[in-house]
Amino acid sequence: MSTPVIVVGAGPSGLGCALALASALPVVVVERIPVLGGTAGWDHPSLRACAERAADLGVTFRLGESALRWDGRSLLITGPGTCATLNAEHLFYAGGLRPATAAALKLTGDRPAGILPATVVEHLLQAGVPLWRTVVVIGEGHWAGTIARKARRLGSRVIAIGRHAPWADERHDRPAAWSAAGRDRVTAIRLVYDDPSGQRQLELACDGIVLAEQPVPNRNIDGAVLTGAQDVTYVQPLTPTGFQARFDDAQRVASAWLETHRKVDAR
Amino acid sequence: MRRFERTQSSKGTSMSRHSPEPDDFDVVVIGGGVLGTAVAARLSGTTASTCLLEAESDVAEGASKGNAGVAVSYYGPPGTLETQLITASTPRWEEITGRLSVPYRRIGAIMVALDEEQAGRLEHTRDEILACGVRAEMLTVAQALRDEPLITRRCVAALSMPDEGVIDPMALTVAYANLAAANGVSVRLGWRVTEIATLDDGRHRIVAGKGVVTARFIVNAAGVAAGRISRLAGGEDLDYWPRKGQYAVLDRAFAQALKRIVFSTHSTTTKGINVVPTTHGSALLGPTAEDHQDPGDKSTDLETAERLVASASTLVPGITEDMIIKFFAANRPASDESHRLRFDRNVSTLLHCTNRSAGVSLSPAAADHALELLTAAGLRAGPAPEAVHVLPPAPRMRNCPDPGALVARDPQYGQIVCACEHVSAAEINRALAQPVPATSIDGVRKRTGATYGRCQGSLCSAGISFMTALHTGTGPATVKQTARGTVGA
Repeated sequence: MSTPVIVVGAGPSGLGCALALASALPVVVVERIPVLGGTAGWDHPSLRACAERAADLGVTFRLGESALRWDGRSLLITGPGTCATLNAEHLFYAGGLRPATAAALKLTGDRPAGILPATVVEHLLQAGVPLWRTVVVIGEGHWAGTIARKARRLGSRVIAIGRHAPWADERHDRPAAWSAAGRDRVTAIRLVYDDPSGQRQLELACDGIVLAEQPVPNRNIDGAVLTGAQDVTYVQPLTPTGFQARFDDAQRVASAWLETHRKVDAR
Repeated sequence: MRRFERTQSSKGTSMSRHSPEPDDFDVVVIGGGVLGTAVAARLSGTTASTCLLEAESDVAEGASKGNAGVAVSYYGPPGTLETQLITASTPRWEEITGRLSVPYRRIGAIMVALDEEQAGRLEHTRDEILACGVRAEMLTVAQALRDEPLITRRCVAALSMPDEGVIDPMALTVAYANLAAANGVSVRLGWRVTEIATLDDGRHRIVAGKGVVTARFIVNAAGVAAGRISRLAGGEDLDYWPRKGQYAVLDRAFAQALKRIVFSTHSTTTKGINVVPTTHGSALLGPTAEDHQDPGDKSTDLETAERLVASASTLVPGITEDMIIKFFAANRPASDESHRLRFDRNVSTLLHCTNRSAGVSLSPAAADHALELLTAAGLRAGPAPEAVHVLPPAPRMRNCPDPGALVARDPQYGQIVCACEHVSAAEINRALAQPVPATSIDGVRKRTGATYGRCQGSLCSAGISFMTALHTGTGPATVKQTARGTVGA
């Protein structure tokens, strides 16, 4: 039996890879959450069919386990009470997307409580945690609309900073520079625009800021972070966003790898 | 040497065996930064009764959490008390950090000259370091590039300082506080001192928002607030002002390749922007030195942030803006006396203990020296036979050579919560349950490194807020994100 390939992530992209590879090679899927689905959610209607096909093809799932280190030949994974080193000839990393950080957005100023990444806010709102009265949502990532609609249902006023925000009570264009204000908790966001007539400043009072700028890929396995990492294929496209489209995209990526891999093997 | 145990030692809660009042102590230390906690930890090994008052809701909330994390071997000219304390502390780091389970690596530093003028100053610095009795050696360009291949090829000369090390300054401060608390020091957080009176017998009555304590001696380790404390106690009119340092954090995917601390050549006025690997594998670019008036101002600005990256990349040209994962700033206590470890000239039982920016580096010897001064002034502080000097080991999954053994010992080590920094549930629960526990998401970060990585908590902050809420008996909205502010409004 040949050495397996490992897929990290059991969202649409990870499952797409796994199913494309499993007809040719043994496949292990590692997922840090104890359920399938990734950002699509564990209850997505397409999941059952995927899981059944994967089972038929003999895909091994290691759910609730995190991948820590990759050295080009083996992957260290751990879970509650488990720790294993899995040998593999290739790693497909489908670890999903996250919002850009404050540093990446060059959001400077104070660092008070109340500035949170969109992914965390989604989680907290889901758990019914009341977060703010007036919130500034930065960016146009897919989280922005979801969060804003939920926040408005909970009675919050939503200010958007971005080009397109039909879900907001108020919208402003992205400024040339921005900074947060507030000592204990955020009290405002300051925007600076470079207008033809000179600099224009705007201060918006708020008690929360959500970082929901365009998604960037998660990278959290040591040895599989940089683009040139050895024997790693990253499957984290920024678009498309739907389950099926992501799944199909990943299948194409994995099949293309398989083709090349077979040719190399044949030689 | 005894080890720390969960049940506190007999000295524990009895407050004071020397004093009739429950809140009366031999010594009250004001300030829970690295110097205050170091002194408290040192006193906790003696028979003196000690109380530590900290204005914020956690220790290490000022300069002790916002510094470059270098345990320097050299900081200034020979002959000063500051230099003596640094020189005395330098050889002790392996022993201290081993005993207190604090991340530390003696990786050495390289100071880089970018032109002939800087090369000349470098030789002057070398002479001063040697005069302090510390090791330093000029390197040729070829040697320098072998020593640290990531430095710029524009380097014309370099100075090797092999005794410098990197340390986790927050973990060190927390460890000092934990040791103090384990030995029965009464650690009181959120106690902002508002009034100090002198009683008829010469003792001090110290009033804070949350209550009153009395003590024979005060150790003023209040950092940038040390001037205010001195004035409240009737001491000298000391001038302290905040000197802001801004930093950028460099992703460890690049930074972990750094072998040495990379210093820029000191100018006559400033120590310049440096590239400092952290014990987490990331690196810090900074600091700036901006004197201002508002100790609450820890803001960053875009112009400085961009300048930090530009300056750092002249030393290490591989550094680019897209590797920056965080900007932050902190205030260090600037004063006319850069180091102050002496009794007040007006109040003989008020011991000042502050440093402009080498507090971490001299904290072990400063704590010893403070004890000597207090003893000489009449404090009875013999060794406490039952005191513990060792904290339980605090292994971390991120750099553990044998993760399987950790998981076998405690299954929670296998459960990774912070995906970027590989911080496990075991480590987070330990931070939430130690003698001076984390009570906020920031407190967990300071103790474990969770949320400190390249996604800055995008994946794990929600989970950590739930864990923190459970431990602190609050809800997910009322749990604290920082020492002062809550997650919810």
